[in-house]
Amino acid sequence: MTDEPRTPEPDETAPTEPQRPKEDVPPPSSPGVRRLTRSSSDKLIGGVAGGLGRYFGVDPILFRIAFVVLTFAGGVGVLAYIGLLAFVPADDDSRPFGARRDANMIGAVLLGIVVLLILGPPFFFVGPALIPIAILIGIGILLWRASGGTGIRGGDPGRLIARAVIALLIGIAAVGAFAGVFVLAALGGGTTLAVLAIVAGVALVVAGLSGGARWLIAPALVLVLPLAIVAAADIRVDGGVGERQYRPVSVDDLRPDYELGMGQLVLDMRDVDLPAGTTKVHLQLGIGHTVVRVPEDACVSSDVQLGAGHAQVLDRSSDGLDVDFEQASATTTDRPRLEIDSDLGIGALEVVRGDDPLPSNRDGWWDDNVLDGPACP
Amino acid sequence: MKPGADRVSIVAGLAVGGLGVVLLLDQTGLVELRFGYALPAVLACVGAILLAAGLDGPRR
Repeated sequence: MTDEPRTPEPDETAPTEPQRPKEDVPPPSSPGVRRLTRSSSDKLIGGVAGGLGRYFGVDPILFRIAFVVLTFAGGVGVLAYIGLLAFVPADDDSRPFGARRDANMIGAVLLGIVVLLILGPPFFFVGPALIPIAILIGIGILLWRASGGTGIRGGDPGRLIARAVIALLIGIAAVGAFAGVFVLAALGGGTTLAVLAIVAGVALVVAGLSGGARWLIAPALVLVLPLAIVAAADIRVDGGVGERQYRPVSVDDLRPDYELGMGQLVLDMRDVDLPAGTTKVHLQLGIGHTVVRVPEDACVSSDVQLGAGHAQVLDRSSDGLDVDFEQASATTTDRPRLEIDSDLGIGALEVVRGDDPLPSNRDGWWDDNVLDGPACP
Repeated sequence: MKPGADRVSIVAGLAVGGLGVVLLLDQTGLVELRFGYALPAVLACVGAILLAAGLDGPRR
């Protein structure tokens, strides 16, 4: 892929030392002072990244990637871009929004508000899920560059469409491979995949020393990224897929372990008359939703480990990545104690008392203002 | 560096291989990987490759 002959650029065919293209020459300014300007030639939208790249002497693609990634961090990327677009002059003196600077300022503020409204809650509630998407976009750009892509400007429409179709197909294949590796790792093939990642790394180094094999970078990343997610969330889906509901009627029916790979796991202990002392229950779910209803009179202590998602145990809730908390109940009471030990990969855990409504079923998703009461009734 | 060597491939190989070692250690139970460590590691891996590619430019 990388060895395909490329159409020589004008400066490559010149017999003498190639000159810098005219458009890359910074505009005249005071001697010794470098001005930051937007590029009128190297641009995809407003020439901000092109100007920054020229100013700092690095490839503008780095700034483009940074803007895209920061866009998923609360819209910072878009806001920064709009700000720079509004206030940094172009090297050809064109205005991005209009002829007046105050109009630029108002336009930038309005656009910033719109972006915040769009990317703020509830529209940005899938924030963590966007990180892999941003990484995939990065991989796509890498692949594009590795295959000799030079951007969308200046090309003929037919070739651009063909490249877009190829990029789309590659993207679909990457997502499919990503999902496949994810499932394989979650099914217990993590060790083999990790060894393959090491082999791919060694192969890349060896290939790099003898000329390079950039086409191998994207497959190697597609191999290693889902494995990292599975490992970080400690996801195991070998416990089955679907919906499992358990409603034991006595303590004899209660099992010490409840396990599900992917889906919804419901453990309803409302009918169980817990004996005095401590009763322990262990829950394990790879991906999905776990609901536990505890008896009305039980004192509940919990040890929750959740890779990513939301956990609510009675009056205690936490969400995000690496959710890990313990909740202890009083040991001096003569009420029966229930110890819930839960290991979840990605998803949600809800522990409620008796017939209390689930937090996720109340008005608004995960209304943290409505609490279920303390560990002991 | 050896003439004809591709810096981007080497950087990518070291980054991917390093990440693979960490993941293997996690699989064998020697370390316990969490998102708090895994995400920065992954982003550093991708960032190192992008930086190398950006500094090196497209292959001729």
